[in-house]
Amino acid sequence: MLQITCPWCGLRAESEFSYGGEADIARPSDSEALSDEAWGDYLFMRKNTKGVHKEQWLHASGCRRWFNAERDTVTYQFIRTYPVGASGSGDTHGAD
Amino acid sequence: MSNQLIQEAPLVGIESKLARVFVKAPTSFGLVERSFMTHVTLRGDPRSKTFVDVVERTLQLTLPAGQAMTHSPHGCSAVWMGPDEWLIESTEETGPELETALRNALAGEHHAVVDVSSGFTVFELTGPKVRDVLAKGCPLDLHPRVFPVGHSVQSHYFKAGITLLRIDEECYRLVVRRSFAEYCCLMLLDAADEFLR
Repeated sequence: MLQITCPWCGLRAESEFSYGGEADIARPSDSEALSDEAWGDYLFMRKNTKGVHKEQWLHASGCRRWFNAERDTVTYQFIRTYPVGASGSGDTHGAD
Repeated sequence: MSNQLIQEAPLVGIESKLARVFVKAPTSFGLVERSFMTHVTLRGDPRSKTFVDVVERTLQLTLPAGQAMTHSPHGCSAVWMGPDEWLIESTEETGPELETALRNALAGEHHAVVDVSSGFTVFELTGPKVRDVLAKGCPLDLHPRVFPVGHSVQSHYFKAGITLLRIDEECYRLVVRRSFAEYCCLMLLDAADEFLR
């Protein structure tokens, strides 16, 4: 079983967490003006990265807080976990 | 038609199965349900000095900042549930009393106070085999070095979400959702079976 570090609770077993998909996807502020393609992009298109991937996790059986993680999708290694908004990555689009 | 509502303890349906572990001084493992304890969920910003001061003055305890629990001299305890959330337990006051007291004291301050007493029940687990029984369904490291007395954590016991509090060397308290109480208790009894023969 993987061990994941919750930013608030520390190292815990994987079974306490649930996965929440790719991180840093911002909802478009002008969704009325968006084309169907751009809206579809926001809703459905994801990167499917091979390598280091930014993703959201929920400490479901613990403090019930969402946080972000950088994980290598090849080795399953968690590189780091941090509270949402703490990274300032500037990467706000789901699809490339 | 009767207007009287009788509150029923969550484990009332499996009382006969509990008889084996319902003992005062267990030689290996004991389980007692502490039903109808008062539980109030408190949320607020711990960085606000006013919020912390008011809560601490009202409850007469120190709000824990990490995975721990603190006690007041009047049978009230605060359990850390998250960076801005605490579970207030009490054996003295009823839920509505505690909720009203906190809500009045915190008027004007950003907060949330909800009486959740009817949503939870508490098991008190005692005896030298408690750690072995818990370890069967809970992924936590229960070694005294990382789980000292006064420590509180949330995790799961098999499929049931739990809050685990270490009260004493061989005494743990388990706060579980009422709807999961029977399941959780049956799993505990099954896990403890080998120690009770």
